[in-house]
Amino acid sequence: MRRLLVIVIVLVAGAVLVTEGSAAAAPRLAASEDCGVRVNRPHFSRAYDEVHTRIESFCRTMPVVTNTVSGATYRSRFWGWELVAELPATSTKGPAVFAQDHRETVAARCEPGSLHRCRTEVHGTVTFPHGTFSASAYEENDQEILCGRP
Amino acid sequence: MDDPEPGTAARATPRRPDAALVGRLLASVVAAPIGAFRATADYETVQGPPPGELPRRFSPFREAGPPPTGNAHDECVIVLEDRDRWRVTTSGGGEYGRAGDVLTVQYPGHAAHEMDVENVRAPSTDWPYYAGHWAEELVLPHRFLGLLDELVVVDDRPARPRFGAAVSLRQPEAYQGIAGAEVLEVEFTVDVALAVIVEAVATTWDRRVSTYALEVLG
Repeated sequence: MRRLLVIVIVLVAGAVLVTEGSAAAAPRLAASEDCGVRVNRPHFSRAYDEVHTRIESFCRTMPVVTNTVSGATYRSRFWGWELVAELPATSTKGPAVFAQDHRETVAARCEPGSLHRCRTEVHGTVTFPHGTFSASAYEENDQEILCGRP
Repeated sequence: MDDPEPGTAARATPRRPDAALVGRLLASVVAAPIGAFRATADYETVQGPPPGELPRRFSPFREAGPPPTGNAHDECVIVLEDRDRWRVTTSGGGEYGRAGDVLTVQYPGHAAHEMDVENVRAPSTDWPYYAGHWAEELVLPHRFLGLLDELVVVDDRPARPRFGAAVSLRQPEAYQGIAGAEVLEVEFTVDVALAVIVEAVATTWDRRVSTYALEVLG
């Protein structure tokens, strides 16, 4: 009985692998560095006394109908990443230059003198006449950054 | 007489190709081939960030879920009439074409979308963007040669010599061609008269093999 069960599991796993392989022909936007989401490194803003990260959802190749971007910044704690700022989804409508390149800033308040690594995640969705595409990315500080002026 | 299957031919001692042979590989830089081709690729995809981990700094838009992994087969038919007149039909159901200043893009499962090329940024106005780097390299060998470290002839048939080359281990970001990430060796057969690569085999450091082929349809 146990041997029969093993055989069934192997067959099911094989079927899953075959299905995944055939998914290569699934619809996709042509791979490109020209359309996607981008995020820069979280940094202390002297003008606002906050940690800022610029997030961007852009497409240089085709006119977009709508372009939506959202983001969140976390700071490093001993137990993991703590959410410190959230930028809700905001949309721009095309055709317009600012819709092709939708930039926002995630601003996180911080305690003066504190040291943390920060991580910002961006999620973007663009709608073209022929379909909707989405992408996510992150960037983080490899070293702790100081909240405040040195 | 038909060419023997790849790998079954009696191999000559690898030698450096002469200038005339290298010149044929570079012919596409002067005059791109005109005609119809069917390009196929069989490869294993194991790349991409681990599940649950986002790409760092930048990520291109994708229509559905994470990139597929496992064995994959891609195929496309490319019809080249001129630099600004071409059609690409992919096995996934996409149809792309350019007729002068008009670019028509029909992604799989969607309606065709027509654009003026002035409103579209290169390289998405050119056929390789839709056929893939690997298909571009089969039709335009000069785009491929610069990625190779040391080119030798491993099978000396006059009409269809076979070349071998080492490839530096690299991690390109947007590149999805024959000498892709983790590839260390390639062998490819050239149709000297047409100056195209008709078959290529790429081997990674851990002996995974990808094969590419180009059939001339007319």
